Amino acid sequence: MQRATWNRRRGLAVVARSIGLAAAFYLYVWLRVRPELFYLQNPRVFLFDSHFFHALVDRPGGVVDYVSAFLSPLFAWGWLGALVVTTLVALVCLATRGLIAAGTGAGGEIVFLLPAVPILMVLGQYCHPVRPCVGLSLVLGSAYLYVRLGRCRVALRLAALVIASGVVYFAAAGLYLIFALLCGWYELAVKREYRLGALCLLCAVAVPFGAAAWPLDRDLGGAFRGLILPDEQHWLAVPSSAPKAMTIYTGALLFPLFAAIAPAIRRRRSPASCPDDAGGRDGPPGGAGGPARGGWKARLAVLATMPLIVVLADVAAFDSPLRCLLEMEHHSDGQRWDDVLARAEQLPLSYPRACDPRFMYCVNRALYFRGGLLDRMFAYPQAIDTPSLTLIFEDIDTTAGLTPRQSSEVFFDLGRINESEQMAHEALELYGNRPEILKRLVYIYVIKGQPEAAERFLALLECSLLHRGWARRLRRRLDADPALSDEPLVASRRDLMVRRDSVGAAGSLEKLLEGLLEANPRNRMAFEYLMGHYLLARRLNKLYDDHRRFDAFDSPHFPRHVEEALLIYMAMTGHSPQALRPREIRPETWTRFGEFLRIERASRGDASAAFAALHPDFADTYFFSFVFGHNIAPLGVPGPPE
Amino acid sequence: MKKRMFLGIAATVLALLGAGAFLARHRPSVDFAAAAAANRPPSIRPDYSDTVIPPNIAPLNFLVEEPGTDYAVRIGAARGRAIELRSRNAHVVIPMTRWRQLLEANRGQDLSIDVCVRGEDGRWTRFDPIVNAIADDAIDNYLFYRLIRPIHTVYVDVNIYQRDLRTYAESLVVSNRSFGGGCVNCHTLAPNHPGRMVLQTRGVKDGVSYNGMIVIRDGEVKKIDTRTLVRPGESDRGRIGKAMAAYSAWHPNGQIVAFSANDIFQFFHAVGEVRDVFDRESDLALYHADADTVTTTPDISMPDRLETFPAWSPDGRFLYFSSAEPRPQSQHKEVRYDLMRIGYDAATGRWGDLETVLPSKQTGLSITEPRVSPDGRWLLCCMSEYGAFPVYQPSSDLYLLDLETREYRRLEINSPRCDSWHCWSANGRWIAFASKRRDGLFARVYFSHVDESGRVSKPVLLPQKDPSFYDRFLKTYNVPELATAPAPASSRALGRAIRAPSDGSSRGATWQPPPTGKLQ
Repeated sequence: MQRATWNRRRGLAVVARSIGLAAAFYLYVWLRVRPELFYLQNPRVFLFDSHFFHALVDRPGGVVDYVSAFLSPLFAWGWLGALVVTTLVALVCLATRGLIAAGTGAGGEIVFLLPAVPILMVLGQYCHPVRPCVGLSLVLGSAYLYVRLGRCRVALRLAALVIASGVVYFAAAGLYLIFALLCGWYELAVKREYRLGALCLLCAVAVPFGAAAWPLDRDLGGAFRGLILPDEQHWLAVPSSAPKAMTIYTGALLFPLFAAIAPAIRRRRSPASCPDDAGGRDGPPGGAGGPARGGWKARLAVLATMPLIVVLADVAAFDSPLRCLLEMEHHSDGQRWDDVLARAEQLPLSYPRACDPRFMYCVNRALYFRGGLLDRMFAYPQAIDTPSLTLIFEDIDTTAGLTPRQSSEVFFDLGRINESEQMAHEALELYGNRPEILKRLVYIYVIKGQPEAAERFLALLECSLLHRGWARRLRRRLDADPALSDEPLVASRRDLMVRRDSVGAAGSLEKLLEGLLEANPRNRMAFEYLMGHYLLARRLNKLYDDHRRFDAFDSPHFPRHVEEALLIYMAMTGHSPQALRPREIRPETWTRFGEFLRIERASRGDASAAFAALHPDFADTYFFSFVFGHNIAPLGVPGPPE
Repeated sequence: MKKRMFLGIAATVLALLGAGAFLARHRPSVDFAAAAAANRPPSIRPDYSDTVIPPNIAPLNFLVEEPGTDYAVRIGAARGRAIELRSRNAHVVIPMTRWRQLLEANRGQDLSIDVCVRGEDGRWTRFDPIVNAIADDAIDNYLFYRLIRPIHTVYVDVNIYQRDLRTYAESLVVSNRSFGGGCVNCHTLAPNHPGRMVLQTRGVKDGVSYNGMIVIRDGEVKKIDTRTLVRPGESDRGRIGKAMAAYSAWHPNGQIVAFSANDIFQFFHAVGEVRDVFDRESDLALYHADADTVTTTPDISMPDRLETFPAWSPDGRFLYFSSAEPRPQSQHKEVRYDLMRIGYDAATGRWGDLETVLPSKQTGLSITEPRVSPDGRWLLCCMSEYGAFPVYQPSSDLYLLDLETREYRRLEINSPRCDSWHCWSANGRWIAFASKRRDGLFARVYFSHVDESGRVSKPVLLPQKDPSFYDRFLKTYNVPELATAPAPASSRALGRAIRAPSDGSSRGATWQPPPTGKLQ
């Protein structure tokens, strides 16, 4: 009676503690990690469609992939994503508890919660958590079911091992290794069945190797898929430090294994009976499970250390700059341009990705839509002679292979519909069915007058979990008007798009933009991007020659950076400012130019000294980037100034 | 007690399930005669009406595009029991076994499809029957095709599949994932020799080249590089020695593969169809499989002509191909291919005279992808405004040339959109082709029956189990090829052959190629 009461009280305490910790974990993930940023990394469309099911499930690891594909879109809502992660982590912890119980006779009171810590660190590295968590839950759960067969005869366990090996490997691919190791540990350390244990350990390696050789004919990387960092095909899904992320990821995968084994090893050091003989996992204090032995004070102490561990894990693993970048892209996708610029200002320039053209692309796009591209672009990190304006490279293959998603986006904004279509298809081939690309293709084919082609993409979105509402609404509108004439997005692109065919222009940004201005001289984005391109390519002669294009926009004066560039050009070539009339370069720009030249000359040819002296006051001018090639302080002087 | 309760619950659930299944199967049948007549045929998707269907095709499942709450369909013919189906939704999924029995029993007869739809008011409406003819001639059992997205530059997922046309079973022949990406294409099966096939692969990863021609002959799979097998002095301009094999055709003897070596350049348009392809150079040559040797003759590898798309006549005495005068890429819209042929004696290796079968000046169009019917009477080809890549041209249509009279005609089955990549069945009574007629973007496979007089029936879309499958399938069917037998090698064996270095070991071992020269 006393023992039952004690068990009930202890059970309630464990449940209360677990719920409290799960709530804390949930809040941490929701508010600190922000799961919607994972959705940004992998927004693949999940379809309620047998073809989609078969395409994923017919390969090792496919079951885990399918479940992950179902859960991933839920991350679009931060609160729901946090709930998914918390639930999966709870499953991992519960399975770990079951395994600890099988090894020690007691479930452990704190140890089983510890696998949450490395998973939390994985989250902090912004490695997508769903696939590893689903995989871990599956293999740990399977291992738990296996150890529950502990009372059965060896022959039955052998049969179970053979069947489970096939099933678990096919469902989870490389994570099968953890299952086999746990089974091996159980047979060797708990049941003392050395032959069966050895077989389990052999299977851990032999099954994936065997699958690689026959019948699946996969390479070894594919055979052990799931044990390495998932490849999410997004530039921000790549951790800042691969060795660090890989270590944390491996730790997260293996920690439940150690969490299960460690108490058993500890228990074996002190004599105790076999857990299966002890009559189950419950028992009075002192039975097993480490912390339970020390009584409530020890348990309290261990519990108190949990927040400390979490804080330490956060300090050690949380990648704040990466979150800042992800948030920036998130806002960019949502066209919240002020938020994009706010995040860009928060990003430390020492962070290596602050020099990435994709970061600069986001900033420049936001600046254009906020009306400040040619006035403020050099107030943010910029590098001369990089494709940071549009992410369009001179070699079309490079654009297609590296930045098809972004270039499709900017081509669409500009009105280069065919080029946007091409890059959208390249992006689909590279990244799979991503909703924003599918939606863009719908509009592209409507704009091109091919509503039947648009309907293909629409039909796919109608089968998706998140986008069916949007797709159905648009289909109703398409049925009523296949040209979507009243849709501002479509009408505006029709006004901008080129009408005269040309070939091979996609590799030359200048030709692309000039083609757009030829079709519509008032295409403001094409105009500003052309001017921005001249600035970044140091093509000041073109800028000077094209200054009449400003007439189409009724602007009383030149934008600030254009004035700066024209000043440099006139200083270098001796051209007169009279030719720019009726516009004039404002006096403050002349003053700043004079001041810039004075400081630069004072450095007497010492580039580093000039860089250091000019950066504080002139980093936001075109003068500075023109001379030094960039305005990113941590990069220093790239070479002698021109 | 617990056990008894569990058994009770289980028995109840089973009984309910059984009763549900019984009721579902034995819903009261609809009285078609009593239903109000709509006096028009129903709208169905895909459009399987007024056509000729193969007797060995999988069930032609379809969607009834008529609003309603209940659907009844009766599929019947002169012999055998009609198939009656009833469904709450518009999907009509026909049971495989009964469909087969019905078609087999009624070869050469009509197949009638009656559709009744119950409206919101509870009343049934009967539509005029859809009548299709069941051909007496079977179509080949297998169809090979490549499934790709509308690819432009990047190749991530390029796979060749085979489909058993009697069922919906689709299986992988080879995937580019077996060699880490790249391209697999131009799969060509040998007529009369089911164990022989060639396909081309392209790809370089981590410095390893996967380029080559995969040759499958009676269980042996190997990769060759045709460039290294050219006999010295074979081609006076050397394209054969520089470019990999591309389009190919097996000689009916199963020993020789004619192929083109092309310098292909892809470019993109700012308006209209994005993609386009331009052949800067192309020549033809023969790969002699027994000798692992490549030979050619000046008439099919002229420096001032672009020769491509080889196709053998069924007797093997003529090699048909497309040929054009080369022009700079800026004049790509001026390049039009003539249809040519040249005599060849496979026994002696002697070449015959070169002959223009149909000049592009006569048609005003570029003539490409010639394929001769197995009886040698007809030549099916594409004609498009310009160039040698009709699949990217909405103007591409199928034309039938009577090789006896040299008269040609545009087939009535063409659509305003691209129709291309056609082939013949082994008995010559069916053609399969890829058409973008549904949306202008994704090619789908269609079949048409061809009778002795060259009359071609309305195309039948390759059926799928889910009749709405094509509505949201974002891949395109490329190079459909009918075949009487499944792939002669497993995808695993093909993957290994692609990953292996090019095999030149047996080159010129025992077989001496015949001397080249003109046939008298």
